[in-house]
Amino acid sequence: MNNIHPDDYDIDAVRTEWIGKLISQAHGRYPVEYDPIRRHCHMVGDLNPAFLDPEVARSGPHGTVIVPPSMLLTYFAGQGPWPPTAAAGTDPENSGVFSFGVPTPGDRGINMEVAWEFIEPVRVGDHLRLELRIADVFQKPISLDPHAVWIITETSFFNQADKVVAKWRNTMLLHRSPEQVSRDAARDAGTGEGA
Amino acid sequence: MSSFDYLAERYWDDVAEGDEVPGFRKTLDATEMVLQVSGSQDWNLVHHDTDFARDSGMQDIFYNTGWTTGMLGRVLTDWAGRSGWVEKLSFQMRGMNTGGASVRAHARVSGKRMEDGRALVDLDIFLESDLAGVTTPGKATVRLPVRQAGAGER
Repeated sequence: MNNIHPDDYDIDAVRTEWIGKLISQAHGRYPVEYDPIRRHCHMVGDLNPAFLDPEVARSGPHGTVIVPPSMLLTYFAGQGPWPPTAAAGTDPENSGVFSFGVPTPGDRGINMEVAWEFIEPVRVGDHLRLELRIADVFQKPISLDPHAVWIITETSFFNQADKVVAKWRNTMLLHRSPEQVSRDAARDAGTGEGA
Repeated sequence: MSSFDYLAERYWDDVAEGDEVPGFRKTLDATEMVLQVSGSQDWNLVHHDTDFARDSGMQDIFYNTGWTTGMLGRVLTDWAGRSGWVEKLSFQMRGMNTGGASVRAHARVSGKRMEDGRALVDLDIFLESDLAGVTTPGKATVRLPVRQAGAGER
């Protein structure tokens, strides 16, 4: 849990330290597999046999089942469920999982914007890895929190031949809970400062 | 069984600006809520723990990025046909898709062009909730085969 009071938060220092930083070079725990693709498709009612039926896919343009562009490739380039959790044996070393380690006043995360570029098909059996960098960090108020922090990341996904198969630009919003906002305001009331 | 022909080809030549892609609709009941966690493996509490979501200042749990990407991506792959390839997919999550809503995923062709031998179609894409209106607008670019041999093929 982050407990940085907004008055103690130096966004300029955070930007200087974190923008451009390589955050993760995760390797997929398992190769790309059929059944996670099936579960993804069934999540949204997708019955497309090109993603579900290996026989149909064999005669298609890619020669086998591929990961649909509707499925987040982080699934196959990571170690398990997101966020890391003790229940999955992937407990994070720090508590800043939603912020990618970037210090923020709040510890609640909402994903705001996503942009994918799909370059090469990802086939069943491929092994994926990723490289995630911080592209930008800035403060912009929301109704819940006037000191919300926005973090833009850029992730490249590579296959076992080290070819870039996809790129992902993502905007995550980090905000304080109402309880955190009240707690910070109480400190302000005690000091006469304004958060 | 679905009668939808997923394996038919869609050709760039047959697409026109303004074409509507009707897409599909899902009602977000308890089963759908469980499926979004199962399918995405996103264990963030804000997507399945009502108390945590409300403690975070949300009205209720809301559906995650994996589900949102899945819905919009399915609109595109349903439409693009067997040889279509989604080159780009982007969207903004401006509103929340919450339990009890009926959400329609759909699209509209905003343009078509040839670029470096690739036959491309640009689309505006939408998730639209009966409770909150357009929650998720976005854009996509899909590469399609052409009827004339040689041009625009992968």
